[in-house]
Amino acid sequence: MRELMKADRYRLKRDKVFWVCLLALLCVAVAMMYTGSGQCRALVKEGYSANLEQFCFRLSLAVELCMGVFTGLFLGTDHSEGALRNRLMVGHSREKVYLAALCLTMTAALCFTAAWLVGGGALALPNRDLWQMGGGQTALFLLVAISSALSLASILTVVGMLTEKKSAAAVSTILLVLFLILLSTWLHSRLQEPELETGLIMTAQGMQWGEPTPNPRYVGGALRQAYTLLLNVLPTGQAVLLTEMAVSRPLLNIGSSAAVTAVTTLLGIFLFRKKELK
Amino acid sequence: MGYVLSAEGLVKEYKGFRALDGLSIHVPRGAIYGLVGKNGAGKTTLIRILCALQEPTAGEYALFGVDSRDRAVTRVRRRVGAVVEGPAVYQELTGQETLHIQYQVLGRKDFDTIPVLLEWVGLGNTGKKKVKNFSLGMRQRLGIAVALAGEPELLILDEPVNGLDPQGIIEMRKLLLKLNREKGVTILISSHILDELSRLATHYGFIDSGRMVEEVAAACVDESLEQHYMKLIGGNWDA
Repeated sequence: MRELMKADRYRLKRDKVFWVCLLALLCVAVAMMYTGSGQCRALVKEGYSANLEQFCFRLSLAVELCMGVFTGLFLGTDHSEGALRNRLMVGHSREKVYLAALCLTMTAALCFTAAWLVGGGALALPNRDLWQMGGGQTALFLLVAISSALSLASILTVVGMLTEKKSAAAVSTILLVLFLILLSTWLHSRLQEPELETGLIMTAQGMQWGEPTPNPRYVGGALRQAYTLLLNVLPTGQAVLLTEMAVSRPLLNIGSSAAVTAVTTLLGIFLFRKKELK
Repeated sequence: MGYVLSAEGLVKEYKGFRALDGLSIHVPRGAIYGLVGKNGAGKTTLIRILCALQEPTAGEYALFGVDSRDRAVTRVRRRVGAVVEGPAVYQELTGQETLHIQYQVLGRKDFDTIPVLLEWVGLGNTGKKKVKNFSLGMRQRLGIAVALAGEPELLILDEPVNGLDPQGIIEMRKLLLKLNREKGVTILISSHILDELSRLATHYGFIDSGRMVEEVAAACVDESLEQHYMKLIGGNWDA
C-alpha cells in the first residue's frame, strides 16, 4: 500500500484542482481574518466586545466544499482514465487500492485545513489580543474541524471509488456536499427556533407586549434530540456548528467523526470489492 | 506444454445474460496468441476476468501455473502487463510522469530507465508534452509502455489497433513483434481485424457466443485466416 500512496502523492503534487483549492482557501482565510480583525478593532474602539475566532471558524464549510470539488475530480480521473485498472492488474488487492485512495483524500483534507489555519493564523497571531477563546477550547475546536474534514473525506471516497465516470463522480460529490450543507444549515436553524414567541406585536399605537405564545416552528422532544444528534454527527453539521461558534459537545463530535469514518470505510471497501470494473 | 495462461470452463453471467459460457483457453509460453471473434463474442469479458477486473461466475483460470483463487496469484500478476479498453494514461501528465507513477505502483525505484522505455516504444522525444496532446497512436504506445513498466512476461492487449491509422497499425505490429522476438514476451491479443492478426499471431483462439470454438497453431491453418474463421463461425458472406 506504501507504493500506491507514493504514487498518489506524486500525482497530488501535480494536480491543478488541488493547488487551486489550496490557494483559494489560503487567500480567503487571509481576507476573512483581515476583514475580521478590522471589524473587531472598530468594535473594541467603540467600547463593544468582539472576538476574532468567529471569523476564523467560518471557513470550516469552505474546506468541505473544496473537498467536494477535489475528491470527485481526482478519484474520477483514476477511474475514467484507467489508472485504477492498472493497480488491480499488477496484483494490488481491492482493499489496498481503496485504502490508498482514502489516505489520499484524507491527506487533501488535512492540507486544505492547514491552508485555512495557516492563512487565518498568519493574521490571528498579530491580533491575538482579540482572541477570546482559551487555548484548550481552541484546540478542541480545531480537533473537531480536522476530524469532521476527515470523516467527510471518507464519505466522499465511497462515492468517488464507486463512480466510474469522472464527470459523474465530480457532480455526485459536489451535490452530496451541497446537500449535506443545506441539510445541516436547515437542522441548525430549526433548532434555533425559540420555544415561545415573544408576544411583541405592532399596533396602530406602536409596539405592545402581549403574552408569549408557543412557537409552532419549535422542535421539541424526541425530534429535537434526533436533530441535535444528526447535526453533531454529520461532518457538515459540525462545520455549521463551528461557523456559528456553537460547538457544545466536542468529544461527541470527534467520536462520531471517527465512527462515521470507520463505518463508511468498511462499507466502501465492501462495495468496491463487489464492483465489476470495465 | 508450458502454458503461461490457462482457463477451464469459464462462465460469466450479467443479469441473466451469459457473456462467457464455459470458455477454455491455453496460451503457450512465447506465443503471440490471437483471440478472434466478432463483437460481443466474449473477448473483452475474458480479458477483464484474466486481469482481475471482474470475477468469473464459474470456472477457473491460472497464470503461470498459479490458480487465480490462490493468494500467491497477486505476486504472479506482477509478471503480467495489460492494456484493456484503451490505454490507461493520465491526460494531464506527460508520458514520463505517467510512467513514473506506474513505476511507483510497481515498487520500482530505477526511474532513470523510464527514458529508455519511452524510447523503446517510440516516444523518446515527447519531452514535456502532455498526454492529452498525444495522437491516438502515441497514447496507445504509451499505454503499452505502462503495461511494460513491470517487465512482464505476459502482455494482454484488448484491440490495440482500434482507431489507429495505417502507419500506427504498422508501428504497433513492429513493436509487438520486437517484444516477442527480442524479449520473449508472450502476447495475448484480441482483435477482429483478421488481416492484421494474421501478420502477428503464432496461435489463434476462435471465440463465438462465449465459447472457445477452436484453438490452433497458425502454422496448421492452411487457408487464409478469414476463410478459416468463416468456416468455423459461419455466415453467408461471399468473399
